[in-house]
Amino acid sequence: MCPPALERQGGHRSAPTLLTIYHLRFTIYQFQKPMKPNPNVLSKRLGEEMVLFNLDTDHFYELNGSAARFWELLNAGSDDAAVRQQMLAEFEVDPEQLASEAEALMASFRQEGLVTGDE
Amino acid sequence: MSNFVAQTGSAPPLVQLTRQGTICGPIETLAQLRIHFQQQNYFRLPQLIEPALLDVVQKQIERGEFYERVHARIDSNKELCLRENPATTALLFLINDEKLFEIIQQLTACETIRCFDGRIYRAAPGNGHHDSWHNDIGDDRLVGMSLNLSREEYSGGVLQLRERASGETVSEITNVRAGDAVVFRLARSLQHRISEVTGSASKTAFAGWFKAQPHFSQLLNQPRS
Repeated sequence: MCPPALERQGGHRSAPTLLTIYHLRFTIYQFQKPMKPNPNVLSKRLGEEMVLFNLDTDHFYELNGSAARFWELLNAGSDDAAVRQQMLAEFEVDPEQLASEAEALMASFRQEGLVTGDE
Repeated sequence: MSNFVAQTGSAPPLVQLTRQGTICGPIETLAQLRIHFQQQNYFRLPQLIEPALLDVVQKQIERGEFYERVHARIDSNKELCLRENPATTALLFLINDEKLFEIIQQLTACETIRCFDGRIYRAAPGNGHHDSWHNDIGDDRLVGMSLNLSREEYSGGVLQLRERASGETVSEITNVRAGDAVVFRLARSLQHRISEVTGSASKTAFAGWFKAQPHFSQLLNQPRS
């Protein structure tokens, strides 16, 4: 209860606060980091469609024409915004509909481990 | 050629299997392979598989389980065969590629290839793993291929080709660098075998055949054991 102990306690109290702020910033950074194709996913064009094979899970996936193009652009290193812009140029689709479908597709990719936030 | 991923200090790839499909070198280089195949009954494809991808496949193999297998159609033989594993599926996925089929057809002058089927096997020194002369003819097989997946450089395990009638050995092919493949002729007049592995390191390879039937889409749908 002497003042120095209190100071130490105070010192300890302030440290987690700073860490929390840092953690929150890190979380926001992670969330905004562009998703990249998982390097353990193989892809193959079969006409209009595309087949993916995930070596990590031993699962196959079939992508239809537009999803296949989305995957190709993602694989070419385009970020999410550039992919959407290119998709708008290539497909007759409303921007809002594209945004919604692209979001759903990315969510599926994430769920299946086909994309990753890792560098 | 700029898209190829090459290992330092090794022969550059002529054809390479990548995550996005097959990429191919200049046609004049491939023409040399065609002549080599005509004269020697085989050719090499250095670094057929992209090095980073090879590493992923090798890691899957390390997690896999091998069982002892004897092939019924060959006189005396024994090897270890990898049970169902993502590595086998990945290699089938990569090799069953229309572009690669076209290249192999051009280089070997074989009939239309529709699929590649194979298995990952291991021959360990001192375990009685061996092979006898055979020709693999039948079951719509057109051309043979062996892709080295070994982590370490092994001794022995040489692919030998001989004239069936005379018994004269016509080629002895070592393939000890991981990721390199040897494509060899299948013919009634030719036989082949793998010599015993010696030393301390095992040989692990993906071996099989380019075939006229079935279409590869059927092959990839089959459960494998």
